Amino acid sequence: MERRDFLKGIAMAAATAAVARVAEGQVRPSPAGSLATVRDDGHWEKAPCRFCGTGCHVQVGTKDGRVVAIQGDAQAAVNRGLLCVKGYHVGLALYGRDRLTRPQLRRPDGSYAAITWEQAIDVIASRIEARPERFAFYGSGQWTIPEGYAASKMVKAGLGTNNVEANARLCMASAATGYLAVYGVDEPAGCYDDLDACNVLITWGNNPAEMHPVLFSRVMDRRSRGENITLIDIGTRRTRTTGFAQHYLEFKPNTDLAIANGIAHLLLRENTYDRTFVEAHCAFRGLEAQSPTLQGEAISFDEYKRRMAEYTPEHVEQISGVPAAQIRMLAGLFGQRDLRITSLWCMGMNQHTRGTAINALVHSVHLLSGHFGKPGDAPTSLTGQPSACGTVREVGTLGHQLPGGRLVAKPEHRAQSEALWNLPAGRISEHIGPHTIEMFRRFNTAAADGGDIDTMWVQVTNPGQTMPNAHAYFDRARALGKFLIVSDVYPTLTTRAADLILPSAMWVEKNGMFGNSERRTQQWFKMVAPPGEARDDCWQTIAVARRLFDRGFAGMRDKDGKFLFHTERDGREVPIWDFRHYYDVNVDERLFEEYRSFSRVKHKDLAPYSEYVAARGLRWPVVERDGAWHETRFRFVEGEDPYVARGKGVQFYHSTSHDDRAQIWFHPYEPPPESPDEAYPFWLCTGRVLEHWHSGSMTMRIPPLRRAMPQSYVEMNRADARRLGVQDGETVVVESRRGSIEIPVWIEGRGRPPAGSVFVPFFDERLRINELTLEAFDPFSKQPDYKKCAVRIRKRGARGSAAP
Amino acid sequence: MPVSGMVLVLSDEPAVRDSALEALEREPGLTLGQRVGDRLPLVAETSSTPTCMALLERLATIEGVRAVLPVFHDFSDEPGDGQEERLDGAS
Repeated sequence: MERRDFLKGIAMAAATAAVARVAEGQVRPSPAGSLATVRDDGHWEKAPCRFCGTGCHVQVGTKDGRVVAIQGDAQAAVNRGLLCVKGYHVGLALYGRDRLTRPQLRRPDGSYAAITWEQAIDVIASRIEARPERFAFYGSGQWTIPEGYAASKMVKAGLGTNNVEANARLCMASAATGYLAVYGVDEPAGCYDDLDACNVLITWGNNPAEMHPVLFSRVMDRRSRGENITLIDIGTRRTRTTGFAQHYLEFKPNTDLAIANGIAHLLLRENTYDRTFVEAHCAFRGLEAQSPTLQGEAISFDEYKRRMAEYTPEHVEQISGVPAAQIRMLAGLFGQRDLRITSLWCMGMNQHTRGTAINALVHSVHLLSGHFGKPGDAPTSLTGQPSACGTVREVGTLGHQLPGGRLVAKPEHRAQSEALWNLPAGRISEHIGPHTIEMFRRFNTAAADGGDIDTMWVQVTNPGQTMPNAHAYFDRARALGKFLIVSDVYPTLTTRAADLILPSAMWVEKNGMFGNSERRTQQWFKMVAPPGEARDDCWQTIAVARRLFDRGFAGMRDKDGKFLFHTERDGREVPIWDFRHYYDVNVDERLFEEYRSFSRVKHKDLAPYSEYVAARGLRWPVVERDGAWHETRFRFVEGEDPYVARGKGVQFYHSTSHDDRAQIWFHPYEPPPESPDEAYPFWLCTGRVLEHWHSGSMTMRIPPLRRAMPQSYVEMNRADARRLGVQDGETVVVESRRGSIEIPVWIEGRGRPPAGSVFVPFFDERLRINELTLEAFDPFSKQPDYKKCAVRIRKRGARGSAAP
Repeated sequence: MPVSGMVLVLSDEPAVRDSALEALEREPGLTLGQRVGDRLPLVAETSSTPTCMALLERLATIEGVRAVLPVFHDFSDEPGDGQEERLDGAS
């Protein structure tokens, strides 16, 4: 048989099998080794996709040291063999021609000189050694779990500071604070199985048809099988998701709080709330009048009802622009006990100066109506990065956290961490590290003015493109003489500002573990070698830590004098800081097993590493029972969650009121910090597109994706374009009080913003929209709002701006 | 020449679905599999990955095709380095 016929046979077998799985709506085990038998000229292994937080698994085909094929993993419960267009092309992300392959140090004249890894590690160690308290580490939800754990340990255990943050602060911090405020513990109670059981799916400022297409296709598949599912899209612009929805509720930016309150108001007024569920499992909270906290203060049911009284459908219509009849429709659905309602959200609710509040309110509507704890009844936040949950939220690579959901502010949590890391008492600083915006503010401020961070190491992220108000929060550092170290795989706006550039291995060029949006921890092995001298981020961290150890830096020793990342095999130390020996042991496994010991305090139990090797991910808590490891689909529910006591039914065992109750919150609607006015009359919303992943540093190197969506644009309403006198494709100037860009107009393109608002995706480094965005952030999560600020728009060469 | 496997979701209206199937049969480089309800497995051979992406987009615009779900992609014949210009325009 010809090789091409061979390949076509595999492709048809994969597609036919996917048809069957989709038709059945479930995963059927494939015959073991089926890929190997049909494709015997290469090698196949499983890995989670490199891109978003859905956590699809792929089978990666390799041949002669290269990734040559990708297949949706038929055994993966998340994607059932399907892929989105980014996952389909994920293998090509490794092979852009400008991969970084050598460490490079900036010369005084601004050019770069190639240096050795030994020299690079020395440079970093010297910077840290000189002023450890002025060093900050910034990573992302693309750090693998071991990478994030190593970075956090190096900073918190080794340097004795908490100056570590991750870009997940910019994308899901408000989801985390929402969960903490309501349930006392982070991450969703439900999972993707809810999408297979709901009758009603509500997308709150969320566009899963483009951003989480494989999950969205699960719901659409059910529809195509004849199931009746009502899709309700609540948004500020029409998207591809809207096209599939029976109801579209378009609200004025920032007024989603009023909508949630309007639903609660009607549930109370019509007495359609679930009194039995509420009395058994819920308590009520509001913010303190003075010095509000994430925990808030207890209020009575009557007080809660009194505060909700003003949110009549008519009042909500006045605030939000959503017709009162649509508020009544939503409340009517929530008031029906026999429906199963799933809410999904992502950046629209999280990138919000009231992000914690709107998260808490959506959870509260579900609790108040009893739409919680049954398959299909769940409020669930989605994540944009592959391990925002697994690494940032669970490992705790943030200034206020310690591994396993512990907090720097709690002395007992510091003591537990010191014990687990075998550190002398008091090694971990009691001072919370700066959150991302604050960290970059200090890095971009002169030392004399309080800018006390002078060296920053960035791994696996691109803040040069993604920090809001980028001129103020990224661009100033270089002129101030600050020192920026960047580990990455391709040149980016961040590497271009760097003093030291380190080439990194990516995805299947290294071992890794991710944790997706539904608490699923995933594992993969290195399959191909990275190009040139590119090396694992985790190795880079350990190598710097070891250099400091060798120089006598006390923090890099535990209380027995051993190196913090001491690794033994057969009783002898393995020099994992020497890259020639890094793969002599499985460093990922060693770090993960150490990290596992942190995971139980918040009942986020993880299985041994070997269990993840065998599985397509497992959802925590994973507990051992009858000699086998079992994952958990639904938390807080008896019979599903192993930590719910028998007879309890539902038990919120991390309740902030310490009585197994979840908190139903009241938060008032408040206007946003910046709104359109006479000078800047348009709303600007930023976001993503189907073809490109976040800042585009990988997907813009994948030719088909780049050609499909070659550059950014400003999406504009037709009436606004007419008023401005601009044509489709014409370049306009979009400017805010912070910056401006020239960008082509797309009139009612893929999305349709209402009059008076525009949308710009952020994937294109040549059109850096974050020069315009606002750094204002949520008071609890510290997450900035990329979804709304005021801009004006004019034709290139024209003065002034047309009012919408 | 990349080889792709995909699943098309077709309209559940028989006349529209039949019209889509006719259009698909006219597409060069496609091998249609056995339809199950509104799902059609197919294999596409294209000259390059960009052509493949263009095909995905074109298939999605055929009346009666509601969604295109990719499942398999072999690009072992594709060139690696040098397949795309640098973002910053440098050579």
